[in-house]
Amino acid sequence: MTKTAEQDFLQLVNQNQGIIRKVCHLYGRNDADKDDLYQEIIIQLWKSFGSFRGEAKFSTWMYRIALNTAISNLRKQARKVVLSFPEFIPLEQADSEEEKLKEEKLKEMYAAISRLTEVEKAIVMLYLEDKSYDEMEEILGISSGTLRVKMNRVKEKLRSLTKAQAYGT
Amino acid sequence: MELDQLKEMWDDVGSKEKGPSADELQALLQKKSKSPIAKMKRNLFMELLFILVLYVLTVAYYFLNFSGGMLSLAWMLIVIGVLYLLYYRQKRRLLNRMECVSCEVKSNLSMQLRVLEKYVKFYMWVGTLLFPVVFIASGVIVLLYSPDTTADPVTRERFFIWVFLAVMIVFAAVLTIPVYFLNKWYVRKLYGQHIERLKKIVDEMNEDLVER
Repeated sequence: MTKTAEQDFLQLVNQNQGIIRKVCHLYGRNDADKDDLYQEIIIQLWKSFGSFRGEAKFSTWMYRIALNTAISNLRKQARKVVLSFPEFIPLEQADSEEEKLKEEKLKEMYAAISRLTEVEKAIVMLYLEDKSYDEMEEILGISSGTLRVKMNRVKEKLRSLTKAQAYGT
Repeated sequence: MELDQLKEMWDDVGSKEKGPSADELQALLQKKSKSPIAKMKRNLFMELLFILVLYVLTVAYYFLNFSGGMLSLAWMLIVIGVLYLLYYRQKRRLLNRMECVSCEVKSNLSMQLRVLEKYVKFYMWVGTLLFPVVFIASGVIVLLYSPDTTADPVTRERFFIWVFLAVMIVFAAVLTIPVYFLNKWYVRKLYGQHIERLKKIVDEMNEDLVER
């Protein structure tokens, strides 16, 4: 591909780096895994960039490639995998009791998400990204009706998982 | 804690991490993919190189050291080599059709599963069926053209030839059974877990749910 295409690509990736990072956070099991996944997603994006015709939004195209890569590249899961917790709250602000409690609860939620299936994680991620069900359908290929039901189930599952964690079961 | 509370903070995920620089990103573009399909393509290519080197050396050895009937073995190897190239082309085609990373996740994974199952079946059956064919063909060539045999193949007793052929066929049939199971085990070891995992994901994605 031409130098200009490469520059365009790097610029678009830079603008949308957040998408790749979030996918890596959800699907990578440890730092090394996340780095590998990050690298693989960039390679797959670059390989497909030539065929990007702009029929879909760049971000939709990017979600598809990132999720396809993350889901189909996963190696055998270790029995108990808990995702490492990204820093949501700046350390200097996490001093107050309230913030500490909030961070604790977030950790619980994050640990619960790590126990979801690959498909459920993808749905959660798109939900957290504030995507509409139609956009989710465009990315995942699952009908919006089914996605709504699945989302409700996932919320219920997360509720019971966080509860179970709180009671240490 | 509800998922919606996480939603409020989601935009900050990873934002504090220092991303790769432009140079680092550019360097990533030159790296090789580590995806299972890319690895399969690389392995297949290495297999092709190995077979080509082995065949060229063996065929050259036969042509340089033997003459007459024994050259049939070299010709048989050439025929098998050509068949292998067709087999390689079909495998390569299947691998190329196996992924469409920019497609919807469900259609990409369903296609990957479908093509991978076809690939594995093809791999297993060709590997299994090639064994008796090569076994019997080699036996027949050795029987007819072995330099140790003084008798002319035309005058050789028909009965002996038929018995030899029958023994070869029985041996080939008996030996093909463990070869089949060995192939099956090997293919499962290579792709079994990946297929199972893909099946599970595709089933979950195909689940059609209706709102109540």
